[in-house]
Amino acid sequence: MTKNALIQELTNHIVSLRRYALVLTRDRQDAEDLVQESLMRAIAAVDSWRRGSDLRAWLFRIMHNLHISNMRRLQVRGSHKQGGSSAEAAEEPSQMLRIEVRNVLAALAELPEAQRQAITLIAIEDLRYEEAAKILDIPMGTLMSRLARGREALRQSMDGRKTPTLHVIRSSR
Amino acid sequence: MTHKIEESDLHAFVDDRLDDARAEAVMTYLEANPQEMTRVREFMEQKQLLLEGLDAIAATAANSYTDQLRDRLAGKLAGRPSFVWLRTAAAVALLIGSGWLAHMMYQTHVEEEIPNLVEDAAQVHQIFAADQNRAVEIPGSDRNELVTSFAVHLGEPVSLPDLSPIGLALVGGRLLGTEEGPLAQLIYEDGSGRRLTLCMAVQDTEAGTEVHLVEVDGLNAGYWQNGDLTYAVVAETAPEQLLSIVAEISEQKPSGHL
Repeated sequence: MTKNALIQELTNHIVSLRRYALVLTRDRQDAEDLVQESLMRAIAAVDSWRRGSDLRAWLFRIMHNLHISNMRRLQVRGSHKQGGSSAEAAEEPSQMLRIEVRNVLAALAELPEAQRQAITLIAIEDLRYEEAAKILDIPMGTLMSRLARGREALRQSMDGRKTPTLHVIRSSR
Repeated sequence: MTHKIEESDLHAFVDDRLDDARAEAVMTYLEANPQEMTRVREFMEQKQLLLEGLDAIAATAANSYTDQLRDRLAGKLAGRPSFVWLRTAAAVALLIGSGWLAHMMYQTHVEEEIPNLVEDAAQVHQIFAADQNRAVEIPGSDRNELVTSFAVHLGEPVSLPDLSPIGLALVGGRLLGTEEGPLAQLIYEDGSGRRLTLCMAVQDTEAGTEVHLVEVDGLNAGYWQNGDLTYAVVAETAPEQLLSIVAEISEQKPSGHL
């Protein structure tokens, strides 16, 4: 593969990584930092990638491991940052998001991290179940139950947030 | 109705990860259970909304330093050495987890006597396969003729493995006579014309169903037995590559157990 083709492919993967980083960190700046740090690690560990193997899964594994070690470090320091919700993060750049979209992002941000990871990797990145389980380093059964629990929680939360249908009363004037 | 529909089936249905039969079963189940139907619809809707939302956030986040890192990584990746068969690396990675590969790797370290069949296979590979311009006796396009003539001469039913999933096309085959009886040779080719030989013969090699990896005349070869047939694969490639090829072949034989 030529360098240009790789740049093209990486550009797409970076969009995926950024989405996943947002879900992990719930903060735009932290997410971008995580993406950049993951890319730096990938550059340093380029020998561990085998040509022809799945580049995206390799990058996701790097990011996931990095995130885990970052979280550990923060916890040791006792300064676990309470990130803003991804719904908040969504606000300034795009006021155009539909209300349902905002709701689902807010609901996602409230889920336990393990469920957020499972939902995002599978539903958003369209990874195969095996790949996602490998990235998260958990058995398939665990992945499936996290996915199921997360989606169910999200669904119920969405149900609760459903805004009543707007009822327009024709003005008499 | 085969199995009960599990919660995980519903999610696999949402993610479009079920085969047709299972998807059909889930559909039947949902039609009979309107509440479940609603739930699955909501899962699908939820997935769509999440995608929309996270896409919108991620797409707006252009960052020039990230782009710089991307370009550096692309440069590094482009410099990685090429493999003979690109898609096989992923196949090997999958096998590693199964413990099956570890078992086979172990076999490679055991000193063993190389059966005649494997030496013959290496020889016919060098004569008939290594040279791209040499014509095959029966072209790969004539699968029926290959299957019939191999079966008649070997006295055993023969199936032609499809290696297209790992990027190898069937060029064709030929029948050869050896001191130990007839030998059927199939030749496969990768995108850049590099070739692989798969030999089949009815020979008492006592190979067993496990795959043995050996080196013959500087070529890597793998051999194993399945029923009355012994198989030998020969190619100028790394042992890992060979393993993934063997895996592809053996997976396609319903009676194959490695």
